[in-house]
Amino acid sequence: MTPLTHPTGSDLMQLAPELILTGAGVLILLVDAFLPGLKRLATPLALAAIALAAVLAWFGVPVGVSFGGLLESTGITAILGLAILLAAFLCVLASHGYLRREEIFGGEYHALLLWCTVGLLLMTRATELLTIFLSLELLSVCLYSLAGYHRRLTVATEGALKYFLMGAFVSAFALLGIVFVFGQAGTTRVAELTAMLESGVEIDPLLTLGILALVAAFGFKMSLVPFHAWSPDTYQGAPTPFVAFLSVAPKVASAVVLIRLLSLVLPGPTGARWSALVALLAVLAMVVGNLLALVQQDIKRMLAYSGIAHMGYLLIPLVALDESSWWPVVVYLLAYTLMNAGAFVIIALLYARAGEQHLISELSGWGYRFPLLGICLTICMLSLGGIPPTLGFLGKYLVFTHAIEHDLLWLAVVGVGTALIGVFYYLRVVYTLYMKAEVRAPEGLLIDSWGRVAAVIATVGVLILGMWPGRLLDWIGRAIASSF
Amino acid sequence: MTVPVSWYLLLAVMLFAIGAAGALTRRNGIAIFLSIELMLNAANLSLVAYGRVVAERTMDLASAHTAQIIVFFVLAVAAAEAAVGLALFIAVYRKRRTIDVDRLNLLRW
Repeated sequence: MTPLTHPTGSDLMQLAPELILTGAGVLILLVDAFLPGLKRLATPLALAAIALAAVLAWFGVPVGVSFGGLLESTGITAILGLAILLAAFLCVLASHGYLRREEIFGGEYHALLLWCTVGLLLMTRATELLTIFLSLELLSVCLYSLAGYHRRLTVATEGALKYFLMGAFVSAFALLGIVFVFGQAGTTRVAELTAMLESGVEIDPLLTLGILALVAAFGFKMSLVPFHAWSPDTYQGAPTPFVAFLSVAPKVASAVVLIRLLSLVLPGPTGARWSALVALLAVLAMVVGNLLALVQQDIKRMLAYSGIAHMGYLLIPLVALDESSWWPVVVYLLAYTLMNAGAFVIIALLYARAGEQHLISELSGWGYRFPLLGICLTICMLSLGGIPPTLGFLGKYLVFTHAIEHDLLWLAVVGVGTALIGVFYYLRVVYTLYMKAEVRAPEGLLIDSWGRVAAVIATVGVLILGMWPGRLLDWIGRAIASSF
Repeated sequence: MTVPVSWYLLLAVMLFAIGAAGALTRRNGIAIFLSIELMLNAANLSLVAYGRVVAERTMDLASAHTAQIIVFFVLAVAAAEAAVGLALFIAVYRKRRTIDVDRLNLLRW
């Protein structure tokens, strides 16, 4: 066992982004409680905290292990941390108008969002099972509360309750998984587990069961197929700008943990069976997600199912997991963060009646009424469909070439085939935007400049990084190379 | 005469199974939540028992302490979950006058 030492200054430096976000959350709550006249300041305060945390996460956090091996920062965790912070940034920008329109503006929304981001950042870097579990719970508790934040709406509280019950059920299994791993291996540190499994000891069935339970728990957070039932319901009820965060950030962090868990077992003697399991999960997510998205009339539910499908594509590089898998995974996660958060941000602006269905047909002809948002939504949809020259295309391209290079041609074929179904329903949104006559007058909308800025940031990111990916790929390549 | 550690593990697994079965079959939200709490506490029990097993196996008392410390964290997590969960139950009950999960069916695919 590694002896625990007192935290040093460099340990605290590792936590600087998290400390800033936590402090800002407390500050926002205090302002809300004692200076209610200034509560609109919550948005700029939260934005400043996230920006500062992002700068610190990139420049200030030393690479390496801290807190006696509980946390580890690498180039990869830094990039994915930035993706999570970006999602939070877009969410806060888009929330301002939404919260004002619905008359539910309160500091606790921003505070919970910042604390949830803290949990996510910790989870991407945690290399010890209890730390992973605690950060998972920190972010889950914040997500449950935020999902039911619009508590005047019946669907919001109901969706949040479903999410809570399923989430708590799954956390109990995650905990049992940790208990089994601890009981068989005698340690909860991922590094020690790796060393133990590499030394060739016989893998106890209970250890396998434990890791399986953990994989299921993170599969739930990523809404992979047998565990996906919560996501459409929760997305429909939750505040739409918050869904921009909920649909991307937890998936980014959970994907990292999933890779950590899988790289424990995939090189081992049972590796082939684990590969088959991951391939099965990927195929299920791609097929079920795309087919169910096809029949949805509600755009939030459609994007919920399409998000399930995207997590299926993301699993493809994990079937043949090695160092080269990080490359497509990181690019795909970045692309997914930008385009999915962007899409939800725009939906938040274009639909006024929260809690009711957000029918795709209501967007008919609005591409001309709202030219900027129409173009932004179009580009996000094209990117989600994987059409060049967007970042979504680049992500899919890297994922599928990775599969082909590792003799998984069949998986790439399934991926491309289901992606074609995806193109159909994404293009239907674009078609509705531009080719149909208007059916709805724009009433009750509140399209403020905060929201417009969020939409433009996401869209420009998707487009510019997709057209000139050279620098981005260099940057990611260097970060990955420095992580091993 | 001491009770063998395996009995504790067996009891924990049984409690966990009862909790899981309850969570899946009960219709009342509070009952589901209680079942989930039972699962968490079953995991706690097995943690303490395992801590003992591991400590005897490795001749290192630190493992037992690790397990016991994890239990404290889990207790705190369960309390935090209960706070959020019960708040959600109240919010739903105010709107719907029921927390029967079968009747909470506004949302369906």
